Amino acid sequence: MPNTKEQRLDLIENCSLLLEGVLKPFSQTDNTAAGRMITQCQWLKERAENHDLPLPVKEGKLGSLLYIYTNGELFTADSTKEEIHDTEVKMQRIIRLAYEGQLLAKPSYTPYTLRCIDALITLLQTAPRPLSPYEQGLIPDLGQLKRLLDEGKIEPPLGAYKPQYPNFIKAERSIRDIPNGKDYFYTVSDLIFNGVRPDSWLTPEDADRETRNL
Amino acid sequence: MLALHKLFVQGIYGQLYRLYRWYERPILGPIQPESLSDQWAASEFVRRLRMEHADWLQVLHDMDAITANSQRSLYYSQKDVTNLVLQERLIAYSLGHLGVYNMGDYPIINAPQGVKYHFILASLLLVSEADEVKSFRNEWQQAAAFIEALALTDEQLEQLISGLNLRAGPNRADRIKSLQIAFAMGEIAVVITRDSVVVPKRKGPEDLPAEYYSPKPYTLGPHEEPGYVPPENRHSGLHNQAALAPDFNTSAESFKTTRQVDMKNLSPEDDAAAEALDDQGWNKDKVKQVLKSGNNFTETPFNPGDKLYGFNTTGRPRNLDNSAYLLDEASMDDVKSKYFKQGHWDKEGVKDYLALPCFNQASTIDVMAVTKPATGIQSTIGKATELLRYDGADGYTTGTMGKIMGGGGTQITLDTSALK
Repeated sequence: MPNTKEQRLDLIENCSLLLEGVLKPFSQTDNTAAGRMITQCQWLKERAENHDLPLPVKEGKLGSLLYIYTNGELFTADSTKEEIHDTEVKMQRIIRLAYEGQLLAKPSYTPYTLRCIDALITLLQTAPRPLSPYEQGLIPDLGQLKRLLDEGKIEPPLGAYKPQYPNFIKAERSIRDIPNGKDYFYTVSDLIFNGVRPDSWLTPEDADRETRNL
Repeated sequence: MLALHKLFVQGIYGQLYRLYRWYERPILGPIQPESLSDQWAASEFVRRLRMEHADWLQVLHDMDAITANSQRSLYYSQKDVTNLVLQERLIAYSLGHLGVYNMGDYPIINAPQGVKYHFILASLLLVSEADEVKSFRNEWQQAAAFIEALALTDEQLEQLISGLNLRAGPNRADRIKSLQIAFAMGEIAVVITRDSVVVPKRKGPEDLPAEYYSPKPYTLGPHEEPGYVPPENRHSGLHNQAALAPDFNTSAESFKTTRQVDMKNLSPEDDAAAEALDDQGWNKDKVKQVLKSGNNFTETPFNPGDKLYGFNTTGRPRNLDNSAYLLDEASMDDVKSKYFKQGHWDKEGVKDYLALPCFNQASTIDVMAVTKPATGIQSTIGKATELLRYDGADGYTTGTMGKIMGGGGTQITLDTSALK
C-alpha cells in the first residue's frame, strides 16, 4: 500500500478546503458533528504537515470522519445540492487517502484510465459466454463514460453507480466468472466512481507501462 | 439449572459472576467487566467456572456458536466459550462473594415527595432490575455534591456505613469521605424509587419533548397547565450530565465500529446487502460503513408519508436526505420503550443502544417523511467502541476512558431518492 508525499499533500489540500469552506462558520467543539469534524481535519492536516501520518491511518483515528460522512451530519435543509456534492467529494477523498491509503485519480492519469475502460469493453465483447442484459448494457455505459472523461465533462469520483449507471450494480456481481473480469471491473469502478487509481500507478510513467499492453 | 434470561455462574472458589451476552441490554452504571483480553486469562477464567458440559452447550447454542446437535468434548466447548469471551461477545462481571441479593436488605434513605434512595453494592445491579440509578464512578465531585445534598443525619450516616459494610473512622468527616470513595471507586450505587408519580407543573419546554416526533405523544399529565416544571433528568451515565461535555482534543482516537468487511471479498449475505444498498444509490464508501455498522440485513417496505428519525445534538437540525443511519417508527418506539423513562430520555442508554458517537448528544430528534414507495434495508446495530473524556466547566475531568457501546437497536437505510 503506497505511503507517499503526494498522498500527504492531497490530504492537506482536502482538509484545508473543508476547514476553509463548509466548516469555517463553526467553532471547534466536541459535542457537535461540525465541531468534531474540525478537530478531525486539523489533526490529519497537522500530522500530514509534520510528516507524522503513516498511511493508512488506523480506523479508530478516523471514526468521526467516517460516521459524519456516512450519516450526512454536516447538512441542513439550507444545504444546496452542489454544496452537498462538493463536501462529500472532499470527505470521500480524505477517506480514500487516509482510511484506505489509496492514490487519487487525477487528470494526468486520464489517458491510462481510458485504456482500462477500453480493456474492460474488449473483455466483455470477447467474453467466453453470452453476456447478461446488464453486462450488455454496461458496454455502451462504458463508452459514454470514456467519452465524457476524455472531454473533461466528468471528474472522479462520480459516487454511486445509480441513478445514471444502474448496469454497474448487477454487472459487478455477474462479471466475476469471466477471466480478469473482477480485476478489470474494480479498476475501472475505482477510477471513475471512487476516484482512486491502482496502488502501482505511483507516476504517470508507471500507469503508462502497466496499461500499455492491456 | 441454567436460566438463560440472565446468566449467573459460580467460580470454583465460590465467587459469583454474571455472564453478559452481547445482545442483552447494556449494563449501565459503575460496574466494570473482568479483564479477560488475553488468551490465557480468558481460558483460565472459563476453565474455573462451575459449569456442566450441557450448560456450556446451551450457552453456545444460545449464542449461535454451535448447532443444536453438535457432538463435542468439554474441552472444545470451553475453547469456544473462551473465543466468545475474547471476542467480547460474552462479558463477565463479578459479584464477588455477595451473599445478599435482595435490594430491600440494603439501607434506604427517605427523601421528600415519596422518593427513596436505596444505597446498594453496585454489583447488585447485575442481579436486580432498576429503572433509575445514580452512580458516580470516577466522579469525585459529583459524589461529594450528592452526599452533601442528602444532608444525612449522623444516624443515617451510620446506617449507610454499616449497611454497606464500609470501613470508616469514627468521626463524621471520615464517614462521608468513605462514602464518597465508595461511590467514586464504583463500589456502591443508589437506586431511586418513588411511591407514586408526581405530576409536575410546566414552566418551560422539556429538554427533548417526545411529542416532537411521535404520533403517540408521551404524557405525564396536564403539560399545558401554566406553572409546569419538567422533572430533573435523573438517568445515570455521563452522557446524561448536562454540565459535562465530551472532549477529544487530547486524543483523536475515537468512534469505531468493530465489524470487519472486505468490500472485494464479501460473504454471500453481505454481498446481497451491498447490492441492495448499491441499488438504493449509496456510494461504496457509505455502503462499506453501513455493512460495518450492523448485521441481520433484511428488506422492509416504506410508503409515502412514513416518518424517519435521527438523534442529534440540539442546535442545528439536520437534513436526513444524506443519512444512511435512520430509525423508522417501530425502531423509534423500541428505543423509546427502553430509554424514555419518567419524562426524560436516558441519553446514555440511547447512545449505547444505537451505538452513537460521543459528539451526538442525543438531545434532539430530527424527523422527515418518505416521499415515494421504497424498500429500506433494516439491520441490527452492532457494537462500537470509543475513547473519550468528559470535561466540566470547573476544570473537572473524567480522564480518558474506553467505552463499549453494545448496540442492539434497529437502523434503517433507505433509498436516497425516497428521502428527497
